[in-house]
Amino acid sequence: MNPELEKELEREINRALQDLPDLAAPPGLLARTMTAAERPVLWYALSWAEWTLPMRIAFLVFTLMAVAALFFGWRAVEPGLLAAASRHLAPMAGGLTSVWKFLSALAGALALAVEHLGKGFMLACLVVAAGSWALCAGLGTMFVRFASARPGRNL
Amino acid sequence: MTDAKQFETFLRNYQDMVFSTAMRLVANTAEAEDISQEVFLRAFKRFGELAGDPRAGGWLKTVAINLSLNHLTRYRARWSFFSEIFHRAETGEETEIEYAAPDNVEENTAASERRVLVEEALRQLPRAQRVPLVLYHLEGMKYEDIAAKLGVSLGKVKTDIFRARAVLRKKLGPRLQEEGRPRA
Repeated sequence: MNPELEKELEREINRALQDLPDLAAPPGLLARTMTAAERPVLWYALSWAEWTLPMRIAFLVFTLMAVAALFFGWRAVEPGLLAAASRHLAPMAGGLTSVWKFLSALAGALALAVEHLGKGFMLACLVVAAGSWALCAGLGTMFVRFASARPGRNL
Repeated sequence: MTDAKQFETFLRNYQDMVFSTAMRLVANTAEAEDISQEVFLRAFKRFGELAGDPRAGGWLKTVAINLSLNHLTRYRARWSFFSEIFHRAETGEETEIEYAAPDNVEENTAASERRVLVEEALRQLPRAQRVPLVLYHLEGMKYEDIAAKLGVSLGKVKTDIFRARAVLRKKLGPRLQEEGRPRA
């Protein structure tokens, strides 16, 4: 395009846009914002930057103590206490071993099935899985938008 | 006057400006309203500094622009996966355009009709063209700043703005030339 014409177009558009007055804010904006502004904000909803200085100091001290307890606290624990704790935890560890054995058997069976079913079948399974995932994501997104839509909001 | 009363007056004074800024960038009433609310909630937190500061308007505008751009890059990218198919945001929504200060009755209706047409044409622009155009012509940003803000190349910004202008001219045609003429 001719640079002169381009400049002329820029001027025309600039004039047209600069001439636009402010749009009227929706009537509910004021009330909605005032309600939200006056609602008390709970401490856990505040960002770190908004915490008061005593709260920040207390939090730092607590965090340092927690880290120190994690790293050095075990030295303070009596050896007998550790042995007792491990006795209590042993049955749970036994349970975990059974779960691990079960999962290993399942993985072995899966590997065997893959070996016998062939590449074509596996590829088809992958395509079906990807399609199902896409369908779920799509429907999920749509439903979330639908559920959170307010009157006047485009879906 | 209490703080709440003062803030209400502050909000009343700036709500149209903030809403217009957001609306012209996101082209969706409900989203622009959400962004405007967020802008004012941030202003409320620092109302002690903003109250009576002549730069408050500039601060609000900057926050409105930043939040709108954040919204466009994050929210849209996240939620527009499939449902965007049904979303008419790219072509603009069909809501009535209402200005904060209606045209003077004396002023010819052609001017107000033209403004509505310009506003509609602006909304119908694709986001990639509308956003840099608004930042350049309405917010007075330089090409380089727009490129930096949007994280795109300078060439892309110039091309998108040029295309947007061309589309607007095509849509508005002779009405654009009327704009330049002195008003009766």
